Amino acid sequence: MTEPATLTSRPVHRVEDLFRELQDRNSRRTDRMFAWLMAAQWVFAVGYALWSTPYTWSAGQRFLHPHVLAAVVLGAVLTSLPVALVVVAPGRALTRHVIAVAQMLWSALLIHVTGGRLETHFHVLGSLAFIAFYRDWRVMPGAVLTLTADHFVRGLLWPESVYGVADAAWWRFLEHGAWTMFEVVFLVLACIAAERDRWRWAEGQVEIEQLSAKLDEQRTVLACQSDASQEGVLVVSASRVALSANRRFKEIFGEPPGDFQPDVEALRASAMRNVVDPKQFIDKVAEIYQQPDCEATDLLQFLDGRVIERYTAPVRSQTGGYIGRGWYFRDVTERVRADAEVRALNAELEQRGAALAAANRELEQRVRELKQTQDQLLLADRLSSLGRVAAGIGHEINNPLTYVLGNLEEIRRLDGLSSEVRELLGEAIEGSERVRRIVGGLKSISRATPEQREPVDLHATLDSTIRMTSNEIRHRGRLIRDFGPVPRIEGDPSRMAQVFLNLIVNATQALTGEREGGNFISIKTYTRASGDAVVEIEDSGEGIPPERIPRLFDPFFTTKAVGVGTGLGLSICHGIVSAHGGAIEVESVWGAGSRFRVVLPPLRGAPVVPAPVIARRGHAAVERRSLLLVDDDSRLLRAVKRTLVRDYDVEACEGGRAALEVLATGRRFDVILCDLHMPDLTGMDFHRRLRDDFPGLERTVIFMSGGAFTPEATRFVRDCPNPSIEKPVDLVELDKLISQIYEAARSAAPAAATASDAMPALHAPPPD
Amino acid sequence: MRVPRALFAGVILVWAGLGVCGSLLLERYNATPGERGPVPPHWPEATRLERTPGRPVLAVFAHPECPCTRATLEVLGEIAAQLRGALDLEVVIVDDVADPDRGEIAARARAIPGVRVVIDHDQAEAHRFGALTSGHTVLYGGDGALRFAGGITDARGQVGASAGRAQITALVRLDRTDRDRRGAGATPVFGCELVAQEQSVP
Repeated sequence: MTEPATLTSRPVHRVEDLFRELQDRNSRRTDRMFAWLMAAQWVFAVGYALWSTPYTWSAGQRFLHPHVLAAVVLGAVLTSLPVALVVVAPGRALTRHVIAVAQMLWSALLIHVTGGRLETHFHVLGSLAFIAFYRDWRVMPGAVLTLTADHFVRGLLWPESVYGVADAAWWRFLEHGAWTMFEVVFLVLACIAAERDRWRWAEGQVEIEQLSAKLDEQRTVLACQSDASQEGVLVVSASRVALSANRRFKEIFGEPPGDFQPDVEALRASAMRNVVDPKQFIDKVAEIYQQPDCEATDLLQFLDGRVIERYTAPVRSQTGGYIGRGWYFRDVTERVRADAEVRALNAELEQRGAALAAANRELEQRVRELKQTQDQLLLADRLSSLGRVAAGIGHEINNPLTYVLGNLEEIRRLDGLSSEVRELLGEAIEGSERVRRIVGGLKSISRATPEQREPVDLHATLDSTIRMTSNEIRHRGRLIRDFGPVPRIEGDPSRMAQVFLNLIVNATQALTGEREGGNFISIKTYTRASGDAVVEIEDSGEGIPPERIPRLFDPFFTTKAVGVGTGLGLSICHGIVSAHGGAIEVESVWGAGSRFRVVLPPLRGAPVVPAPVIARRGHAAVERRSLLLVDDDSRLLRAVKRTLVRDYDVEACEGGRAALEVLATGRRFDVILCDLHMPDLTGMDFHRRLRDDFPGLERTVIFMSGGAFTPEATRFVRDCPNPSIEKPVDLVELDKLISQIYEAARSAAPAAATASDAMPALHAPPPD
Repeated sequence: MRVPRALFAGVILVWAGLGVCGSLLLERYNATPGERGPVPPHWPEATRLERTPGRPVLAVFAHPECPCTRATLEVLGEIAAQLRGALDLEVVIVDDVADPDRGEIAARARAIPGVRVVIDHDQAEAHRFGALTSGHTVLYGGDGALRFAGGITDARGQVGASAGRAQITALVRLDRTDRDRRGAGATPVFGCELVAQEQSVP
């Protein structure tokens, strides 16, 4: 036996077992063949002997030929043991050896029976080849030995029958043996080669067994893994036969867990029963099979509500050969649901984000506005402080200025003054007027008065403003006054006057160049359909460049020369109007003029005030009225008395106590003109005393004020129905107030309040 | 099925013995030549066989039904082919039965080209030439002297090359090319008995 060189990984005993098993199988097969061959040879030998040499003769007598006898008896002997061994011990080495020897003896017998024919000698060669069927070279020596021994013995005994000569040398058998050996050598080599092949085959077989076992193991592991997977897996071969399907696949498609159905069509039909849209399902499958390399993913909606993700990809061997197609199914119902929820949440989040952004923008805007407002407030506060200082100074100047101006006026009325004196007097009066205007402007540059809330007659406010500015307007253009019906508004008349003054002065200053038909300023009032009162101030000036319009109301934004404007005017106007709940609108055409429109909400329930009739001074036809003048400044008392004495019966008292004493004497006056700020008894105290001691008289009081208001005085003026007038006293205004008080006192006591309502306050803020 | 080793060995030995003995017996039978009578050293004048003076003549005596003689005739055919026309050939069917067509040997002999078949009814020729066994062959030279007497097969019914055939071939060629005579050759004869004898059956 050819032992293998090495066998490390393969178990040797298994290879040996397989080797022997194969050898045994081959031996048994060959044994059986020889058993039949022996029987056939026997039959042939007997038949041939009977046919060829049935008798032997002695002259006329015949006898059974010894060949027949030999064929029958010797044939039986030669056949018997091999056949018996094949039956009793098939595959055993002994059986082979006996058969080999017997077959050689058979060759000898047949050669004899057939008369030593050359053809029969080939039986020897054929038999040796046949013996080689055992693929066991060990049987060869026995056969060869038998053959050689036969020749040797016969050569010794009957040389001529073997070698054709009677005196053949004793070693001639070796020559015949050598010829036989010539064949046997090849047969032995073939047997050895066959044995080696058989060993290799056994090794290969063991290797296959090992690989198969390993494959089984891997397949089992794979099956375990596959079954443990949450993904349903189906593998379909290139010829559309389902190769494998895991447990999860069967679960997903409701297949029975046990047997696997390799029929793809049946699987497909089963799948189509599950899905909502079978057509889409089958179309997709057909499309994918059109492209062997295609990888695809889609979602399958199942009838029971599940959503299954289907993924498919070609399955290829390690060398890239196309094996088939894998189909992978995953239940993504929960994921899809969660995705939808996440999407919805995202959408909501985005929405909220957008809202937040909008709110942020609004907040920023508000903060900006607040900042602006704060800036304005800071400014206003600063100006207000300045105004308080200015008002204090103004008060101190006003009293002397009142009697200076009054006295100058009195002097001018005197007769017999030379023209030179009159000229000097005129200049003095003009200078004094200028001082008065400056002081007035100082007071109202930043009216310390907090926001008042009272019904405001816009026409009256406009009138007083126009009056203040008419001189300037006249020099530059014509004033067009077009007042329509407007409701009264609620607010601070002085503040409103400040706004209008500012706008009118700005309009006046805009009238720089000459234009066809002359420059003009148009002041127009009307009521909008919404009920808002509108004051429109238009000029034919140079207009505002469009790029400046947005910054028009910014504080300290000015286009005027240094010293002409502070840049606060329109900003303050805007703040005032906004504080009144209104708005300022601007329309401007560069080079053609501007139009500012102040829109104010009406006083709730206020009737529309008709266009007024302009009042004039002078009431010659009226009876003389009595007037009690109360002030702590004796020079002021004298000056005012001199001024008023022509139209009124004037009794002047220095201080409130003196006035109370006069009244205590029983004297009564139509109107009491009382200074608000007096050292011993203030105007407020005096008013209280009147109310207490002389009820009714307190309604006839008109207060005079220098402008310096204490908070208490401010409150008092706001709450008290009595009118007040600024120093230096404007006689026209005073006339009007006296008339009103007089008329009110005459008609009825309760009507006194109404009179104060109708009183316009005449604060005159300086133009910006 | 377990067979005791000793029994096995015994059976095999017996079997081998039987086989060997049987084979030896068969071989002995095959290799045992038949009887030969005295052969005249010169061509007898009384014979019915024909002889052309100056030409060698070969005569084979055959039993009409002897199976072994088939081999002899086969060898004769080979000799005839080999020595074509160099000698005369005669086959003498030795028969004690008055049936000239008995057996196959006569027919086979006639089939060999150039062979003259003589029926020896009374076995006179067989006795004359000392032929006691079928296959007995005699060769006389052109001068009528006996050159060879014996069988031309090496065993019973054994065809192929044989000592007798080799001698005959050589003798005929010598006879033709070199007249120098070296004495008659002799080989055993294998075949059935031509003349019944008391000890003729082995």
